[in-house]
Formats: sequence, C-alpha cells, structure tokens
Amino acid sequence: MIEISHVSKTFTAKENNVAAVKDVSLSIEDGKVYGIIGYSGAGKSTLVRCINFLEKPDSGSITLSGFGTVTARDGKLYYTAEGDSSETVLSEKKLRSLRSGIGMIFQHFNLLERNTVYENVAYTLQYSGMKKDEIRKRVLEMLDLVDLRDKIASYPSELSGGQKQRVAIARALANNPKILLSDEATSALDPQATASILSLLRDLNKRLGLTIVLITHEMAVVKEICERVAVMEDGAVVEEGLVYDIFADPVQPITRKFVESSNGMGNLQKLIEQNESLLDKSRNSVLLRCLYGRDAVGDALISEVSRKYAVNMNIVLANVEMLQGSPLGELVVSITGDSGNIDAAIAYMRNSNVKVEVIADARMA
Amino acid sequence: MPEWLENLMPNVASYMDKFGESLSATFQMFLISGLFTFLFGGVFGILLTVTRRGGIMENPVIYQIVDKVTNIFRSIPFIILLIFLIPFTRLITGTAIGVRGAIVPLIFGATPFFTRQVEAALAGVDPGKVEAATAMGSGKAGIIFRVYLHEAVPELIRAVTITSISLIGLTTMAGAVGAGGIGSFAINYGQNLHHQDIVNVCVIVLLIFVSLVQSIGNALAKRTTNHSLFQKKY
Ligand SMILES: Nc1ncnc2c1ncn2[C@@H]1O[C@H](COP(=O)(O)OP(=O)(O)OP(=O)(O)O)[C@@H](O)[C@H]1O
Ligand SMILES: [Mg+2]
Repeated sequence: MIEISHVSKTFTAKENNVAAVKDVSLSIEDGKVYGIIGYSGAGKSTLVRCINFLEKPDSGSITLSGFGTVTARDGKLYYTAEGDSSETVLSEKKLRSLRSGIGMIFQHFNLLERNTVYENVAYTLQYSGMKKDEIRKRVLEMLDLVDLRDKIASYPSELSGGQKQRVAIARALANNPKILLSDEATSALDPQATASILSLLRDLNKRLGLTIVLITHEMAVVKEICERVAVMEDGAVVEEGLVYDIFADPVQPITRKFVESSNGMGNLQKLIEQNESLLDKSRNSVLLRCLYGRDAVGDALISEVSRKYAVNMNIVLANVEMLQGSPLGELVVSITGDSGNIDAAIAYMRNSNVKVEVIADARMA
Repeated sequence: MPEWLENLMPNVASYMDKFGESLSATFQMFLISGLFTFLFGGVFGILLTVTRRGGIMENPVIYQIVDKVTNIFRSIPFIILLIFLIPFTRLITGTAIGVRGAIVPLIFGATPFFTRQVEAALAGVDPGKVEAATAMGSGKAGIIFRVYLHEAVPELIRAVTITSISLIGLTTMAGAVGAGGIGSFAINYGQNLHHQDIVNVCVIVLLIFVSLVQSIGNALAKRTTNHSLFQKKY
C-alpha cells in the first residue's frame, strides 16, 4: 500500500511561487496498476517524485507498507517505523533504503551511455556487497524478463527507444523493488513500442505482483493497463476511481475531455456543427448519447426500442471499449418520431441499465 | 647524430647537452605541475558541480568561495602571476627559480582553467541520469564517480588535452623568467646568440609534442564516447 496523505509542494521562485501539488491524498493498493493522468504542468511528476523523495514535500506524509511513514514538516523529513509511534529524523541511510525499494523509469530512459546493457542493469547490484556471479545471475534473469539477453554487451546508443526502456525497466527492477514508478515511460516511443512496453508492464504486474504507479497524459494508456486512475488538474486530484467507472461516468469537465479524446466521441460536437441534418428540425428529432456496460447490450436494444415504440433510430457514432476485461459501449443515435413515443423510448432505455443523455432536442428549438 | 642532420642545424649539435637538459626540464615541469593541476582542478570542478544550486550537495558558501577564487586566478595574466607568487613559491619549495620554482606558479596558472573545463564537462552530464541514480538509492560518492565522472570521460579527456597544451605554453613562459626548459633554451641559445636553427628546432619539437597530445586526446575521446575504453565480454 502506498498511502499519500495531504501532500503539498510549492516551488518558490524569485517572482512567483508555483503550487505544483496541493493537498493530495491517494491510496494505492499493493499489486495494482494505478494511473495518474493530467495535462502538462498539472503536477503529476512532482507528486510521484514525492513518493521516493526526489522531491521533498512541504507537508503531508507518505506511508509505504513494509517500510513505514515519512512525514514532511518544516522543511525536514521524519520517519516512523511500521507499527511504531516514535518519530526520528529520516536518515540518509533510511532514505536510500526507501529508494532501493522503489524502481523508477523515465520518459528519456536515463541510461548510462558509457555503460553496457549489462552494467546498466547491474547498477544497483554492484558495490552492494553482492558476489560477482550472483550479480551476473540476477542481471541475466532481468534481461530474460525484458527479453533482451542478446543485447547484453550493447551500449544504449545502439538500441532503439523501446529497447532502451526495456533496459531501464530491467535496471529499475534488478534489486527486487515492490513498487515501480513510471513517469511518461512511453511518451517518447512509437505506437508499436508503446504497446510492447505497456504489455511488458502489465506482465510484470501480474507475474511479480509489482505495484505500478504510471503517469501519462494519454487516456489510451490508462485504458490499456490501469485499474484505477487519478485525474490531476492544477496541482490537485479532481477525480479518482476505477478506470471503468471513470470512463462510464466522468464527472469533471477535464475528465470528460480525456475520455472523449481516447474514444473518438470528441468528434461529436464537430459532427453536429457540420452536419445540421443530424437534427432534422421539421420532424421531432432528438440526439441521444447512450452508455451501456457489463449488464446491458446496446445495439440489440436499438432495434428493440425502435420496433416497440415505432420510432426511427439512426446510429451516428458507435464505440465499444474493453476495460479490464469488461465491455463499455457508447452510442450516439438520432431518434425521430412521435414526441410522446420518443419520451417513452428514452424512459424504456433508462430502465434497461442504459445511461441516456440528451445531447440535442429539435422539439425544444 | 647523423652527419646530414648536423649540417642542417650545426648550433643544435654543439649545444646538444643543453638541449637535452632543457627538454627534460620542460617535461618535468609539465608532468609534475600537470599532475597537481589535474588533481586540484578535478576536485574543484567536482566541488563546483555538486555544491551549485540544485546540485547533489548544494552548498552556496563552498560554491561561492571556489567560484570566486577560480575567477580571480583565471583573470591574472601568467607573467604577473609568476612574479606575484614568488614569496609563496619560496615558502613552499624553498626556491623561486629553476624547475622547482616554476611548479607552483604553473599549478596556480593552469588549475583555474582546468577547474572550469571539468565543471563544463560535468555540466554536460544529463541531470536525468543523476536523478535515475538517486532514485535507485545511489549515494553521493556513487553519483560522483559512477555517474558524473564516468559519463563525462570523453569530455574530461578533452579537458585534459587542452589543459595539457596550454600548460606546455605556460612552461615555456616560466622558462623565460629563469625556470629553464625549452623556452629559455630557445631564448638564451637561439634568439640571444642568433642561432636561428635552435629556435626552429624548439618550434618543431613543441609542435610535435602538441600534435601528439592532441591526437592521442582526440582518439581517446572518440573511443570513449558512448562506449567504454575497453571491450567488454560477457
Ligand atoms: N524544479 C522545479 N522548479 C520550479 N518549478 C517547478 C519545478 N518542477 C516543476 N515545477 C513546476 O511545477 C508545476 C508542475 O510540474 P510537473 O512537472 O509536476 O507537471 P507534470 O504534470 O508532470 O507535467 P508534464 O506532463 O509536462 O510532465 C509546473 O508548473 C512546473 O513548472
Ligand atoms: Mg511530468
């Protein structure tokens, strides 16, 4: 469990202060893939860097199961052991042991350019008192895990972006951390490499029970591997929940934007503007957005409803997402017919576990 | 010395002993002062890197002191520095003349230059690498040696190369004020006695030496860019 509690961080510059993280509290369960999404400058990196204290929070505390609690106060960090209540100043040694238990990967890989793949992966193992043959065994194990054994003697400059990130993952996991922080790890990669890194991360999460905290600005990435997601805006977490629920029912405008950007529904507004015939004012015409999930079937419902209520239903846009193995369907339909029948049809759909939202209504015009 | 060479530069031939002595004096000055310059400049360059704002051991006081002292000594012309340091040199080495007298001013003349070179080389190391090492729980020493110095090797080699070349220049200047070496040989036996061949030979010897340093430096820097110096086998 990673328990982030009331963490704040302000950067003080000469002219203006930037409140990068404002009173954020989150708990991240062990063995889960947790997404943090937000636009540039939202404070995602700052928040995640507070977890391994690359950034010193101004206030708040971080609790890591198996380690203890670190509290920031008056520019200092204090440590409380698990199940203990006495507080001591966090020592350099303790801080380093905390960091050893948390792996981290970055957008630009940050590999050591003059070291071979082997030496990069062995970074945390060398000078740690580990025997040479043990180090070798561990490095080979890690390289097998990321499928790069044949590149053992290569230098980073000889690798593709995707391969570099694999080396970075192997390096980050070499001394067996339980947590992996990923700061835009796929942002510099092409779609194919992105997909392969994401599936590697999912695999590591499953096989090693690794907890992954993943920063991204792409909802597609969240959709792909996260179970929960926190949406950050302007230093604060504005929405948090299961990815499925966030997609099914985004509350904040920014969350809606992210969801729409990932599923093509963002084009809806443009479509309506360009295509006035969608909304035929001469007839009773209503544009609906229907969301249906695990316990409803959308397309079948359309034909059922149109027969039952003698209304005409045209599908304008359709989209089905698979989120954590559950389908989430979205339909935009234009419905025409007798005004009373339209209302009855909508009511019927709402009763069948379909979330219906009226986007435009020609009858009101 | 073969006969044709003797005919080509008769004066060099007759002062061969002096010439040999001068060469050896220059090498001694170069090697000893180089050793200390690289040591001190390296330490100061690292100090500037780690103590600057946002550095891994941020410390404004140490940074300001090293920075200012470096600047002061950099801005004093070497000839002035030679004279200025005479009392101090006497205190340290017991004499202000000869090779021993030249070492101290040479170190003072070259160290600030090398310090800045090292600082620039280390500043070229991507902060992301330092951050990654920090995140892995690496300590200060680990970050200095395994990240900063190790990643900057090609740049450090370039720094050593150009500092060496400028140090050779400084040794000849020190020679002009009585330190001996190839510089004073060129002046005292070449220029003053109107033996142009001696001056020419001094120029050629220096040229060869500088080119040698430069090409070894370039080759090593190239070889170590994105690569270890030696082949690794696994
Ligand atoms: N070291 C720093 N000094 C001053 N301001 C900083 C520093 N680091 C971040 N900030 C500021 O804090 C805010 C949050 O930055 P942060 O890097 O956490 O955003 P982010 O969500 O990760 O953005 P991105 O998607 O661009 O990486 C920004 O306004 C940024 O300018
Ligand atoms: Mg960021």
